[in-house]
Amino acid sequence: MARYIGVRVLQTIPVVLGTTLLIYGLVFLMPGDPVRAMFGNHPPSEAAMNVVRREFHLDQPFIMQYLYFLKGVLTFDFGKTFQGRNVSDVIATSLPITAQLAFLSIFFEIIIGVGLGIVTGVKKGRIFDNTVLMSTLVIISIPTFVLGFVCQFIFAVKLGIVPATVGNYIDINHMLMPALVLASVSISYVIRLTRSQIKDNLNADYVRTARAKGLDNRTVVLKHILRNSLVPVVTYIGADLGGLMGGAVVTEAVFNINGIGHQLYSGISRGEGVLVVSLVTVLVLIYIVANLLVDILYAFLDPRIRYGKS
Amino acid sequence: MVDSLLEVSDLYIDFTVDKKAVSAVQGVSFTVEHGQKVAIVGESGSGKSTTAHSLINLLPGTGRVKSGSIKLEGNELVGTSFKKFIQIRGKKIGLVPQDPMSNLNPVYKIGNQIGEALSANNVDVDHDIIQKEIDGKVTILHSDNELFLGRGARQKIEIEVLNIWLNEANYNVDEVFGKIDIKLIDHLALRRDLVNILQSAGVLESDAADIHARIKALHAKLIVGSSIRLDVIKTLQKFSLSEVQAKQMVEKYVKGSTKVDRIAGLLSEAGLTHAGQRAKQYPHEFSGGMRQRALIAMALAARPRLLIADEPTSALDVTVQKRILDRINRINTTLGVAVLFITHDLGLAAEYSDKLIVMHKGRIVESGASLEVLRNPRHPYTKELMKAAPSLNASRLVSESNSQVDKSIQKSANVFEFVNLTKKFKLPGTKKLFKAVDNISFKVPRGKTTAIVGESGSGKSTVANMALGLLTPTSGNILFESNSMKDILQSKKLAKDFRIKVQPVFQNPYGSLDPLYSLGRAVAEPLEIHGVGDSESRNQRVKELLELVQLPNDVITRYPNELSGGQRQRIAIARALALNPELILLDEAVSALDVLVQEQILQLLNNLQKELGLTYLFITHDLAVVNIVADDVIVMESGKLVEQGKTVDIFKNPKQEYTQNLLDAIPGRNLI
Amino acid sequence: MNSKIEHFVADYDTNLSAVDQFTSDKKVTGLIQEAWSIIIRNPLFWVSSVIVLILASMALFPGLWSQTDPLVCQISDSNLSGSAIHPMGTTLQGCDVFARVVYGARPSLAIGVMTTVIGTLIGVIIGTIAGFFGGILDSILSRVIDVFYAIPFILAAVAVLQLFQSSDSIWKVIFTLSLFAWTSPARLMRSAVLGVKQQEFITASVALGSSQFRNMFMHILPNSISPVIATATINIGGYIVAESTLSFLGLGLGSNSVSWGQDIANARDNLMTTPSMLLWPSLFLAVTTLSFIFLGDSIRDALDPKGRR
Repeated sequence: MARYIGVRVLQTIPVVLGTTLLIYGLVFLMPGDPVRAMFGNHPPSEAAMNVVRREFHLDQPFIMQYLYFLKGVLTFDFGKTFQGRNVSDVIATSLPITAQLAFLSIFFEIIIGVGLGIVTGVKKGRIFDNTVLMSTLVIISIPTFVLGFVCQFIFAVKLGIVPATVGNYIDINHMLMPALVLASVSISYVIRLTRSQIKDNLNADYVRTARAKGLDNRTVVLKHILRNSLVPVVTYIGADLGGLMGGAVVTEAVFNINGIGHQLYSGISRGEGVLVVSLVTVLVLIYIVANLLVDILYAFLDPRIRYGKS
Repeated sequence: MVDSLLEVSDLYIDFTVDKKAVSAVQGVSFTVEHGQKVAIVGESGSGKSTTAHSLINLLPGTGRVKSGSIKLEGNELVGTSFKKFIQIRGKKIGLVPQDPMSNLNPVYKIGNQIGEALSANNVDVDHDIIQKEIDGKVTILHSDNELFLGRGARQKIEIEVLNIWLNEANYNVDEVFGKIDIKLIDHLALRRDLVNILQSAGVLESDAADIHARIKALHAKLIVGSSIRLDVIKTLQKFSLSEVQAKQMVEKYVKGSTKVDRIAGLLSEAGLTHAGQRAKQYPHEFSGGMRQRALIAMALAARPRLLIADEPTSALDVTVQKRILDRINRINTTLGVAVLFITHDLGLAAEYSDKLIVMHKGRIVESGASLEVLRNPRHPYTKELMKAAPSLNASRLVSESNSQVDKSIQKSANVFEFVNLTKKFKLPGTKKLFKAVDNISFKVPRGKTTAIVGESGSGKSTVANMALGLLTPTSGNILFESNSMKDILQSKKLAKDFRIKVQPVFQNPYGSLDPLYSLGRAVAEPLEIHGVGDSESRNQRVKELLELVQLPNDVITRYPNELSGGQRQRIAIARALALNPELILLDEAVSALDVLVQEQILQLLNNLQKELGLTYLFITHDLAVVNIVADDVIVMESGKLVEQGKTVDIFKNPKQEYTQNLLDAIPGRNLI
Repeated sequence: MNSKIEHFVADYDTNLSAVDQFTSDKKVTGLIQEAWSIIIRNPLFWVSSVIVLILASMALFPGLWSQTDPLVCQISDSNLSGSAIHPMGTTLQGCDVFARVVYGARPSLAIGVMTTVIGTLIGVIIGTIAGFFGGILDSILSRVIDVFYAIPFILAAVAVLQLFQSSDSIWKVIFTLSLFAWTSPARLMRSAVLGVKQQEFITASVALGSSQFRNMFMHILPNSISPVIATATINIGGYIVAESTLSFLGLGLGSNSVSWGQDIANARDNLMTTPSMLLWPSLFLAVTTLSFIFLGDSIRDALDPKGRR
């Protein structure tokens, strides 16, 4: 077990290095002079700008700049925004809001996604099953922001049962609709995955053996089928955290939530490359760590991995 | 008259395919008496497994009992409720499934899965409780002997035995026990100072040492959780207690056992050693044979009256198969459980059953007392099966050698020579080397069939892959027609010649043909690779080859998925023959086939050898098949060559114990 | 046993002479033919194919569907509801919604199809190399795949599109999406190749003397490509959705271009007054995506041996 965790942690290191290098490479390639951009329309003298360049190591070769950047990432020092705020402060205030949104979404994924997946998986070929399956496809094929608009329009504007935007009100009442919208696509995938896993496992040999022992249907479904079906679902939900981070950009823009996605969105619209890249880096790192945790959880769920040789 | 345990009459079972009903079982009737062993024998598609699964209402997919009756102890099962079947499964009828690898849930410990079978059938409570609640609420176990030895009981028995021994040796027992710290008793036998304690109580030094040794031995024999009352009584008797003494003591102390004890007991009953620790392991830590034992323990957990064993050993090595079947046999005798074997192997069925039922295409064609049916088969189908079963045939298929082969060209006497061949593999995750093949030498004479036989892990397939030049040996040498394999693989010309002369046919008829290639193209592929002829002459050659393997020309435009397993193997053979090879390496080439088809293919191979003077290198786990096809045989075990020689000699007169064991494990061999 | 067991023999009505004979009365059903016969019986395949064909004709020949120029907008026609001249009404600027929807098909489909083609091509090549050659090459390629895979798609696109803020070309979107779209086909292909490589017909082919490359192109590639094709078809829809999301974030084709994503993004400001401006492009986009999903699903169902009886 310890060996397995060790190997997974070691495998994560090149991925962290690779992703940060990739992202930083993109900043490096970015057209225009970042220092000039920083001062906007009133550039100071070339000498003054050189001082700034030296301060930010912009006069050094790419690989050195990357290492400074990496050091910044590790010490949580990302530099400043155009308005002079520390990027790390921006992250510290906005990340918890996004985290709340993401956790609420994952909660819905588990409750609705796994729940409906089980129901549709166990009952085969019914009208209910087909309706749910069809709905999941429709949701997958509508862009999240359109779904957000439509929900806003129907539930907030026309029916008035939930607030249309969140703004500074970070509570369950305001976050409910955004979280559901954010989770919608993932819920659809979770339903489909759980359903197909359950269907596969329904005909598995060991399930027949469990029935032959004299177990009742409830125990067979809950103990044998579900446990085995959930292993890939857990992996999916973990991997989906990345999707949620991406989706948060859109959802936060639609519902006006001041999370990290919103910062990213405004960073894009203001053309603040450094801010955008820093935020993306943080989200990617969170995603990688989350995946690592899921891998470890996976080992707890599946003894074959726990005791396997690496 | 007492009801039969199971009475099936006029059973019809349908499957729905493409919205049409397809009949799988048509009018099957048979009975199983209490404690009887019945075997249903048939090829794939005979409806034998379907019949068995219908007994516990676990028909796969769209299967459904159409009509007929299944009576268990006089109660009708057809048409009863789903709930009723839950009560029957496990408690009345246990199932040992076919494939041990896929029938255990990978995420739960073995003990947990057996415990489930106990809880599901209300037999998971401690025996103390069972004895207290005898008002019918809790199921009472079938037999008093079912009680397993608990930890506390062992301690008490050991003290009492010690007591008896001291008494016999005329020591003052009270005085001795007064000096023994009772808390230490559980570890008594293992403690060095027992000798000192006894000595200080006045026991002679030699006696003390003797008593110490005996108690220690007794302690080792009484395994908590694994020893049932009967075993404990027998053990005590071995330690010089009288039967009366032993019985009294056991009845007094072995009263109950916990669920954990019971699980361990069931596992050791199924023949698993160290059952207590094994119960804490996961399925993937078990070998196939061990898993099958766990499944047997599971099926027997609630003491069913009927055990359905659905091809319980077809995925296992022969020697393991024998041990498992012997264990089922023993369980049948000791517990009186009736057994319904489902098998494709007539020899196995005859050896392990009282009554034999032969099924063919959903019908029973013949049934009767096993030996009677075997020695005096009447139905033509049974006769065919008998004729085809390699285990029931003693001699090599007749082949007059080399009638049409041109002998004018001088060729080496041996096609292959293997000299001190060794292959080591790295074990995954470690740096240790593992010897898959360990220093073996043998020759493959031209125009003959040489068989390499061994169980899984014997290294036979590694030898095959080295012979095909797909693996390079770690040391030693392979000579093909006097050229070293190293040189062959380094020289383009020699390699091409080698690839033409040595052709493989593999085991899995479903995997050995590219599903996207038409059969004509598959057969022509070797010609294409080696640039032989133009497309017209190739077509001509394909037709000739198909004729050789007795398939019609129509198959040229067909695809592998349209053929049966046997037909696919014919295509594979036709392809192997395309380039007029010297040697065909047959790697388990007939193992996956039904017995009648297997016989056909073996006959075909034999005829081809006769006509074309081919040399065969035959890799198999099935000694019975070796007997009827091979001239020479090489027996391998864990990488080592155990024995080699003429097939006739080895079968009549095996020199090595391992070979003898393999021969003994062929089911039904000694029945005719 | 208690009683003597009776020896029962059934009537000799079974024909035993023809064990394992090939019967040639059935029609040819190779894998491809079988897949085809399954797919043509699937109504969803037909419905989605027809829709995809209609959309393709809109993308290639928009003039066939609408004679109105989507960029010529009469401000006097602002915000009209559906009529004979403007079947889906007009936008706030007075542009014909139907024309914009028809002309919007081209960039959306082009991005969806081109991204899929490029991404799948790269993925298949890299996945095949990794799976076929194995060893260190596989380890390196797998880590590279991991790196690209570890960056959530939208975030990755956001970061890359920072580079092209000045450009309005459709190729910047295709390039960006393709840069990250190759990872899942690569993974899929790699595992398919690993699976096929172990099959006996590959070993058989090597033993027959066929070269590595013959093996790869004649046997392994054709046998492992089918799941990739099915997934790729489904993914076309995903990239169309991705493009619209990027447009919404202001990183798409630019606000002056005609595309579904851009129109949906623009419709946001007037959602309260003219929901139809949101409705039509969204509907077209959703139907397109759904059609590709159904098309891919029916291909998968036809090709997947597990789905068969």
